[in-house]
Formats: sequence, C-alpha cells, structure tokens
Amino acid sequence: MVTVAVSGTHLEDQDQYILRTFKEPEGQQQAFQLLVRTYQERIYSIVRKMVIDHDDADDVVQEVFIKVWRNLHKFQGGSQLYTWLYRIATNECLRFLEKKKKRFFLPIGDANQELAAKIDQSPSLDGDEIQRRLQKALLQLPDKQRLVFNLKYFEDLKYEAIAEITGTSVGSLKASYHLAVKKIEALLQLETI
Amino acid sequence: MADKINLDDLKNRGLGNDPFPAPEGYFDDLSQRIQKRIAQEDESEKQPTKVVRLALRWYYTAAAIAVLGLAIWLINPFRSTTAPVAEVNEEQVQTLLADVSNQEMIDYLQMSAVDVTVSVSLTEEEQEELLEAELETFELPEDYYLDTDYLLEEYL
Repeated sequence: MVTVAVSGTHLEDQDQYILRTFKEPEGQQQAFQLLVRTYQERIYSIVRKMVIDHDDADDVVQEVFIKVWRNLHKFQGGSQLYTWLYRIATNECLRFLEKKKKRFFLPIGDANQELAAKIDQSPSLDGDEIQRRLQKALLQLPDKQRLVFNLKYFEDLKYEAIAEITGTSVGSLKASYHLAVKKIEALLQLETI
Repeated sequence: MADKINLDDLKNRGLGNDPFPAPEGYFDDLSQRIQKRIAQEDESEKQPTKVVRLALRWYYTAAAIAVLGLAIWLINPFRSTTAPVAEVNEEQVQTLLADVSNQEMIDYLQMSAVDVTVSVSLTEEEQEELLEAELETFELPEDYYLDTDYLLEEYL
C-alpha cells in the first residue's frame, strides 16, 4: 500500500524551502532536484497505475516534471505543492490516454484491450491473480473514475485531497468511488462463478 | 458458492499493495534524465529555422506533385483533339511550367487549401511532425499565455 504523508510538517517545510530556493536563479537546479527526489516515487505510482506500461509511465513522468520546471515560478501557494504536482500528473495521464486512443484511431474497447495485454505481460503481476484481475476490471471504468479509484484505494488519499486535485466535489467523489467499488466487485464476482 | 468479494477485505489482505513497482534503479538518475531532456528542448527551441524548413519541405513535395499532375493533364494523349489544350505540345508545357516559381506553386497550394497530408500521403507520424512544426512557428499573442494556464487551472 502506498501511503502519502503529505500533511506532515517536515514535508511542508521542505516544500517551502524548495519554493524559496527556486526563486533564486542560482538555486533553481538544486531546488528542482530536491523536488524531483521528493515526489518522483509518488508521481510515478499514480502515473503507472493509469498508463500501465513502464516506458509510457516514464515518458509521462518526465513530461510532468518538465512542466513543473517550466511553471513552478508561477505557483503562488494557493494549494499545497503536492496538490499542484498531482494535478499536473493526473492531467498528463488523461491527456496521454486520450492521445493514444486518437493516434491509433482505436475505439475505447480496443485501446483497453491493449492496456489489458500490458497487464498480462507485467512481470510484477506474475502469480498475483487477484491483482491482475482487479487491474483488468479497472480498465472497464471510464478513465476519470479509474483515476479516482486509484487515488482512493491505492494512494489512500482523503476525499478532500482528491477533491483539490481533481476539482470535483467531495460528494461527487464519494459517489464515484462507491459506484466504482460496486462495479469492480461485481466484475470480480462474475469471474469466480 | 464463491465467497462474496469485498475490496476492503482484499485490501486488508494485501490487494492495496503497489501493483506496478518501478524497475530497480529507475529513480537513481531520473532527475538527471529530466534535466537533460529540458536542456535538449531548450536547445531545439533556439533553432526555429529548422522547424520552418521541415514544414516547407512538405510544401515543396506537394508543389512537385502538383506540377507533375499539371504536366500530365496538359500533355494527356487521350484528350479529345477538338479541345484547344490538346494542341499544346510537350515543349510548350515545359516552357509554361518553367515560368511558375516554387513560391508561386506553394502560394497556389495554400490558397487552394490543398491538404498537404493527403497530397503527399504522409504517415500519421509525419502528419504529427508537420502539425507540431506549424504550431511551433505560429506565434500566439502575448496575453494568450496569461489566460491559458491550463496546466495549473484545468480541472478534471
């Protein structure tokens, strides 16, 4: 289980240090490296669960941090730094998935078949049948609903945090997650019959 | 009958573990790779003429195809002899075409809204390259950027 201690004092202090140091021309590289090292695993985790393939995840993660580099000077602290990072990451995931479908002119079903094939090929799921079935069942959800599910179930984020990241109300998120859980449980149950 | 599946129970039994861990060593040099890519992007942004040449290359190709098509149409041996154009011989065609500059041909294609991608049968990758090249040479007004902080403000 991936846990995120995003409200810890230490992390907030470090975020303030990053933002302060980044404002100085001679401190930008150092601040950026610290930011990447701090958030790389969490960003990768979110992205990889959405795009499935490691090479695709690597591309998206790099894009995320490049956008952070180019826009960090505009960040005004209206939200937590991690919220802003996660927002960029989730947007980039959804854009990537949308672009992939359009590039190959695939109907949604075919695009998901490609992702399902990547799940079957994933070495980390060898021998973990229930996880493999869960990941394939998640592909039946719309991308945004799958994203909410991942943020809640795997990343263990609170609804309030997910609401900030996605710009959706807590009530909508709870409904979306609840429906996703029911659908996934039904799909998994069907496979056991 | 199979037990009812409950995701929360399964999570407590380990289903909530990260299903896709990163390969070993992946994070060791991620920061350096990102900064290298940033440097490469910054370098390529300093050379806009290469982008323009890429776009023009396709127009020149389309221009060549248009010239060829025009030539074939003008010297078509199957054209009816009653049509005055059939009287034009090959030498005259070459003379006519020689007077048409490449730039005039490009302007003609652009005004005619010829779909370059269709004319030259571009692959999807080449189409994207062309589109990116056209976008990069297109300058947006200064205040556009103030309104389109989509990276920061776009919500799901």
